[in-house]
Amino acid sequence: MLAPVKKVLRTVFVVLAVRDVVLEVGKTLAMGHVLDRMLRTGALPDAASAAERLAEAARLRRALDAAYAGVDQRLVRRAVAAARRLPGHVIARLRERLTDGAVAVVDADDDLSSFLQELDRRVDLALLGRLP
Amino acid sequence: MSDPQAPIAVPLTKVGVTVATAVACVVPVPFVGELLIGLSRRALTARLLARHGRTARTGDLKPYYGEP
Repeated sequence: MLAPVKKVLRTVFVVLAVRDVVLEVGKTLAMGHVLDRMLRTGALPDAASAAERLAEAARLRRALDAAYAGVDQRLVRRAVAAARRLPGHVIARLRERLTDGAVAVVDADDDLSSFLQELDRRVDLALLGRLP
Repeated sequence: MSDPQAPIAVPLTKVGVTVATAVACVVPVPFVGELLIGLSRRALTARLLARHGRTARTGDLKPYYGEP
């Protein structure tokens, strides 16, 4: 009697767990990408005071959260699937040149690039307060 | 200005931390998963700051990497 209910519940929990992993991984990826881009453009300078950095970091996070909430979840899923393939590229690259891992880069494939480009566009809009 | 059609490069830092986040998500112990995700995001922030030559304390960016 309980077996069908257990099966349905198990499936629901697995689906929810996978969705949670995808969203968390996507958010970490988004967080790193946005911070990397902002630092490259000169945001959060050393010359600023700690209070200014705290305020700017909070503003960036609000923009990221707003932008990420509106990104198409199918795009996030495809991006995370693409990111899963990256470690293979990483290992190949590391074999070629044993340099500082933090500096070496790998090219994102189309799905990941689309996600990051869409995220950049939305973060810029959120920072300008124009995110619909 | 970068070419919008050029492929986006993903630093290895992000790849490693992303994998760490995925592992942390499936830790079946309450609060430990969240703690590990927080630590991996903090490490990502620290490495990105260092990579861009910033000397600011990572803790100054807690509102960014921490959970609200």
